[in-house]
Amino acid sequence: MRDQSPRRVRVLALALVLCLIVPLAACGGDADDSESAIPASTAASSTQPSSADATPGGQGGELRVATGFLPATLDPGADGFGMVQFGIAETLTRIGADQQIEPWLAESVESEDTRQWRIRLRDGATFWNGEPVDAAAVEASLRRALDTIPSAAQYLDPDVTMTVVDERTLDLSFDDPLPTLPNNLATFHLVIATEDASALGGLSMTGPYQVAQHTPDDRLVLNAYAGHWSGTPPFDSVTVRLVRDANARMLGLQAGEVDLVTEVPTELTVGVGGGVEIISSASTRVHHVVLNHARSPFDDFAVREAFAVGIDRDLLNDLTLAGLGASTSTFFPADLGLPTIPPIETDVDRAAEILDAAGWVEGGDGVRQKGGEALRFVLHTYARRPELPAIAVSIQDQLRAIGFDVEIHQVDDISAQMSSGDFEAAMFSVNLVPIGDPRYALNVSLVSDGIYNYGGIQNDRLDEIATELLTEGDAQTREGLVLEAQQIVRDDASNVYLVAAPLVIAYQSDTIAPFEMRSNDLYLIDTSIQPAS
Amino acid sequence: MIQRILSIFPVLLTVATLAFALQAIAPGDPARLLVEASGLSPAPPEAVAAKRQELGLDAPVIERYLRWIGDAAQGDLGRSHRTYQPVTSMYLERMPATLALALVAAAISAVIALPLGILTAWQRGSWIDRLGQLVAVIGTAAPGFWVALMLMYVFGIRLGWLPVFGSLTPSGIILPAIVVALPNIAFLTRLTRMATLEVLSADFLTVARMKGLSEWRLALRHVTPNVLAEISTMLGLQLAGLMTGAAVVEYVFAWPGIGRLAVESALVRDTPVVVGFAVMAGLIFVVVNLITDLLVARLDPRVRSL
Repeated sequence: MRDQSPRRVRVLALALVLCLIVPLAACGGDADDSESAIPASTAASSTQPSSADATPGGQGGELRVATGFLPATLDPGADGFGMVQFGIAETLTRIGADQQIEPWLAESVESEDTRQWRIRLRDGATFWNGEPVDAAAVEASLRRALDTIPSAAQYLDPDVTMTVVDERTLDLSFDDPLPTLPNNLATFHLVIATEDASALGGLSMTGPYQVAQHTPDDRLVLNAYAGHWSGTPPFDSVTVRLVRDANARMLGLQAGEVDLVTEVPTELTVGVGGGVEIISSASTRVHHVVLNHARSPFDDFAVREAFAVGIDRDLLNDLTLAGLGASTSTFFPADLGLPTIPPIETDVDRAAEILDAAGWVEGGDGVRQKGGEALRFVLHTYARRPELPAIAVSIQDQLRAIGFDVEIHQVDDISAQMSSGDFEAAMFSVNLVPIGDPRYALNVSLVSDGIYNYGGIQNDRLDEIATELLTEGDAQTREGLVLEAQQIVRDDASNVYLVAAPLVIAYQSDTIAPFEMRSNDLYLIDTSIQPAS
Repeated sequence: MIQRILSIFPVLLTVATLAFALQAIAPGDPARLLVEASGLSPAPPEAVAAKRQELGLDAPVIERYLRWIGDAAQGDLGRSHRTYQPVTSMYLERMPATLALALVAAAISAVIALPLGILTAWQRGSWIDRLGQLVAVIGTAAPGFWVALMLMYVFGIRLGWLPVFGSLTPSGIILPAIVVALPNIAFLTRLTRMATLEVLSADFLTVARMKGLSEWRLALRHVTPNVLAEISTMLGLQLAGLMTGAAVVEYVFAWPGIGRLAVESALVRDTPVVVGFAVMAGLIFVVVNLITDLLVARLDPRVRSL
């Protein structure tokens, strides 16, 4: 019989280790008690004094949200987008329906000559610490943004002269005309905040919900700010929980563990029951294909044009986005209040004729050829926007019918791929109207030095239009310039625009009243979301 | 024993260096991914450049490594590029949740796998044995995220017995723990079966049978203790593995543990946190082993003298 003593001791030792650490697991509590679900040390850190403790109180109840995105910090410089999205921070203006500027913390933003601007602030707006949102505070907030947020200078000239006229009036003076200032003030880089040592993150903001606890990568707990200028917020508190997996988010909604889910993939919108309502809106984010004009075959205008004409955008929308997006053949989505030229009619026969006329003749394998070169290209795509690889496959299928041979490559970093110049065509997705200003789309992706002009578009008239839009204040003239730019891009087949991405939200109809969502994903949680009666 | 403790440091240094090197050569620009993670997608080049400068990513990789390893030697794993929090405190905050999940999963694994492994060996070749092997195959082959979603649907929605999202509560821990335990059950069942077969072929058992001991008495008094002795070291390693290997499950169940933190950070190339995870995982493995060995040595003078 073998000697078992050392082994018995080893078993005892292991049991002892387990006994020492098992009590740590005995953290009791009810499954529905969200506080008990927070790691003890995290919960402790959240109880540090904050201005949220001073003025709690909404109309009642808790709004529970599951989302795929959560701000990593409470710093508006790094995470201003999330601050605005979840009803924490506000800007002077915001983008409304049809991309029109709405007053927010500002009652009005007006100018006679687009150089001298007068901002009239809303009466009764206060920061969470109770201090008024007056002209001096707004000036200090804008100055802080210019000093600390590099991107802020794109929207507000650091050389601006700010003058406090009275408590509610702030004048801004620029050397050059700035007709888009009301739009620029809506950027999340310019949220209005004041320094407050008692607030989590060190800043007191103005939104209807103030931060009570922030656990990065886990959750954000917000309490209603009873002093909000619009009145008492509809919910006492809002808990935003980060649940990255979209399937898990939807299951949580169906199980009644959350009331509202964001970023619902279109494939999960079909056949959902259990009182779940799904609402969607086409957004200003446009999925498109960037064509490299310096590389074959897209150095040939006929190939670019045939691509643009031969794609069925409605089919793409139906197949890959459950029909929830909006087909578009220009860089602005239709039906969102922006001036757009008529859409391209899909015409496969015409696409074939264009290629025939350009000398691209059909080969034995169905792939067209010209001078011994096959009509072949690599279409790069990326997974960060899950619908793009599916759209790429549909493009591959549709183009095969007119004689293209498309190979799909998926990469991690599409921007790096395009920046290197080593690409022929690439799927890309950009919010081309983030602040309701049409000039943005031209300036970033179509002018010669645009930061997203990876395809090498060079058109003097486009550059001129972008420059004119910078200072042109007349609305009708601006609209004409925007339409002219779209026509130039169309005539050159510079890029192939496909579909405006849908924003999809799901909610429990027995806990939340029906509400209308915006076409800009910057605005998600605000006082328009009310409990069901 | 001091030599044993000192041997931890070269292990951790190797792990940390490998993790740092892999992060450095991985494709993708951390600055760009971090800017996009804050809601600016695609990231404007000037914002990427500012972020790169802010994080010191312009410096040569060797310089960054030496600076990091110097700080790490003093217990400072750096700060997250996203949250600006100290990496060490981020992991310590999440450790209780991970530990709880690992322990419950370990308990579930042991309660199921040990009897099943012994039974399948005892009934070798029978339908019970085949059933046990089927369980082992399914447990190993079924993808964790798929099992997680299925359990969420069945127990969270169809039956309504358990919450869908994980939480550090008695009911909230059950589903994540089951999913974490499944592959472990498969592995332990097979391990226990093999150990039991070895014990069953030992001479002392033949002698015991010849003495007329009942099968139950043989199983409880002679087979089980010997099997436990055989697999005890592996149980310790399994516990460490459960603590560091539940990333996918933590991710799907939104479990606030270290695995989820590591995945979230890896997706945006938050290098200090990702490398910190490698160090923490290495630390967990060596510490669990060391504690086990220390306790064995404390309790058994023969082992202490080895």
